[in-house]
Amino acid sequence: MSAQTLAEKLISKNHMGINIASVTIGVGILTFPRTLAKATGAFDGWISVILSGLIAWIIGWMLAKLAARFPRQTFFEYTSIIASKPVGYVLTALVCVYTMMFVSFEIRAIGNISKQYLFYNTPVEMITLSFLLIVQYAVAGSRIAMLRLNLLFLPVVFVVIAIVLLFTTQLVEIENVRPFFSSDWRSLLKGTEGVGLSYSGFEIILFYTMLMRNPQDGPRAIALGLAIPVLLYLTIYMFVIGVFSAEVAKNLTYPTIELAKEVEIPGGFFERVESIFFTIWIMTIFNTSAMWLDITIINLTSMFTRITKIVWILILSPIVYFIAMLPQNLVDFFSFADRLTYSGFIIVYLIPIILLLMAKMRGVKGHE
Amino acid sequence: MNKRIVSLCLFVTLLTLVAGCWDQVQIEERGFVVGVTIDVPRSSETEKKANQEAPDKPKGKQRFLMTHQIVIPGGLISGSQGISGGQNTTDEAFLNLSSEGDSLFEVSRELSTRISRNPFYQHLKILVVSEEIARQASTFTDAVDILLRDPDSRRSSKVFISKGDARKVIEVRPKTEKIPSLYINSVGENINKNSRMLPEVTIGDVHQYLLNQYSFALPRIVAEKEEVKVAGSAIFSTKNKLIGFLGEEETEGLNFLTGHVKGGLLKAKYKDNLIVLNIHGAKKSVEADIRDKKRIKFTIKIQCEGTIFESYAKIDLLNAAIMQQLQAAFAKENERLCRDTIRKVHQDLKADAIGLGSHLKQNHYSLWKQIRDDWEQGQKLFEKSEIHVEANVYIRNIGGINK
Repeated sequence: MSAQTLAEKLISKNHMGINIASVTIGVGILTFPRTLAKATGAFDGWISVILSGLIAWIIGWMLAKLAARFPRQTFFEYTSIIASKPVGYVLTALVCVYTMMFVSFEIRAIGNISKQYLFYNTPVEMITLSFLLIVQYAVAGSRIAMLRLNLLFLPVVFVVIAIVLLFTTQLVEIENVRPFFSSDWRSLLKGTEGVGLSYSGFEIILFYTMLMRNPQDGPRAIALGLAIPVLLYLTIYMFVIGVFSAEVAKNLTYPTIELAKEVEIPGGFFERVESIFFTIWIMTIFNTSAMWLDITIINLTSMFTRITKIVWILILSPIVYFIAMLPQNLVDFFSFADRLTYSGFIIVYLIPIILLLMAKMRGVKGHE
Repeated sequence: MNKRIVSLCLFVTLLTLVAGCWDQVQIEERGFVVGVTIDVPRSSETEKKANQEAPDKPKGKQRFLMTHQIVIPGGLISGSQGISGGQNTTDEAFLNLSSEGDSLFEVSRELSTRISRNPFYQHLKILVVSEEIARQASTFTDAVDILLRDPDSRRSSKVFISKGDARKVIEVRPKTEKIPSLYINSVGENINKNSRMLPEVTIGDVHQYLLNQYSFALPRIVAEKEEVKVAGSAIFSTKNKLIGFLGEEETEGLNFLTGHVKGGLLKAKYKDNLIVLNIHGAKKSVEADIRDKKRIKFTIKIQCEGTIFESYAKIDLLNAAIMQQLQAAFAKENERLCRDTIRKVHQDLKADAIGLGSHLKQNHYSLWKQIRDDWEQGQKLFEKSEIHVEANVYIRNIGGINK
């Protein structure tokens, strides 16, 4: 029996699920109703939400299986075992680039959206920089403590979203919702692809399984971690269509923000509910980007064991910031996001699945 | 020691990061815009002047005359005896500022050269667009564009179409309220008392109407000297252009047909004497006979319930047979009301403001997919359709006295 401090405690299955949910809920939650309404043109988009959730779950399940084969081993270690050391280096480096770009994307999203709705005069550079500094601070400390913030923030997020949705119920019009089942399968599949982009994030199971008390619980953590965003996206989509109709949702840059702006609590005392919505949304982005940065550092330190975490943070931050500043406008920014997610399909979904198959065939297994 | 100095320096430099706020605006510096109206400029003098100054500048199709109503907070304090001091110089709680230009944003920014408080649109309550603007192709769409696009404005501001100058609407001096826009805003919410006005239409709704392919109706507003009248409605075609107005009674019929009646009254005659019903609510259901695509038959069934509030006929209202007759009389009147509206929108204006196309889309989607482009345009199937109304009125109560 060793006395563990809080900071050394390993994470449980449910905690892992919450981590996955927190990392998944990010920028996509604001834009996915638009993509979905554009693709399906109707309320039926909810089918796409579930469909893509299922696909994500299947992929996630395989990733979890892969990670569970090698308990207490880092991504770099087990890829090296499965497919030789050089391959391990290349793959881990690729993953590092991917996760680091994700941090850039998230902090730039904060910059863009806060600039549009909250700070009209503050330069995007400044908003992004101050956010990056906070993320750095979160990552610099204990890893488990940072992950525990997810447990703290996610319930708040849900309560606020529930309040927002509760007050929009009076604006829902049934004529916006009908007709049901009017989209053909092709548009539904297109919608599935669109929402699928907003589910990216569950691949953190590849890297965080080593922190789990019982790595075999990974697949179940994935199920929980994806069920939360699926339900959330489902309700948000239903409300967005019910309040705005598909025609309008197609035409709104950030439908979910507009939904929050529609809320009017009777009595006129409290008119700007979206300010609270922004607060919680920034909290989720904070969690998301902190985890991505942390994962980048886990992978880097696993490759180069000599350099410490704090040094990596200091090296990475300027690069992350620089990449975040590259997109010149909103169009650039969205295409950056799309390309990033599509490259993620190969780096963190396809390749690990191939690795899993290789590991199965060659019978490679880690040891406790 | 060295480390201490470094961390101290870091501490001081980082402090500068948290100290600043680029976006602070004191509440005294904000000009809360509560009402905006959009007109066609009265004269072309300013336009000529602007043209002389810069003949080659980009011009829009239509110049707008935009009037902002800005709240003067000091004027809101009732019976202020010099308490507010420098806050304002008049007793008025509002200030109307008109300016014209090619774009509404231009006008809005032009105001900054004239007032100390910059316009702030988050509390915008009403937008009034004049008939003249709405009658031209695409200018109505142009006029609402900025309020939808601006992340600062809200989608819940109410929209009205004014008969005559829109500016006059927010220039009225109501006796009951200090700020005309807030007064109009409240009047616009009285749908549960009177069904001769349309239920409130927000700018978000307008956005939806403009994007959809149906005709639509917006509430009409008329300005008097001390008051406004929100009654009747303005009908817009699928081209988003105003094509005509519905009168008060026709609007009442429209409300019955769209199922938006929340209150109001119905009059009927019983043996030459008038009896008035206070409506508690009404429901509608639509049945479409789509066997013949070229001639779709709609039956709109209206169910309405209410209480007798006035009876000039001295009859026994507790008598079941008389009640039956009365209900039939009210139903007949209700049908007449609706038929008058249908005649106007179906035959005169030829605009599907009743939302029958929307009904087909919701309930007969496979048919709708085929005729979508031929509904109000193309083959004009809407005009060729038949619309019938069947009304049922239920009298639930007779009030405090019988005869």
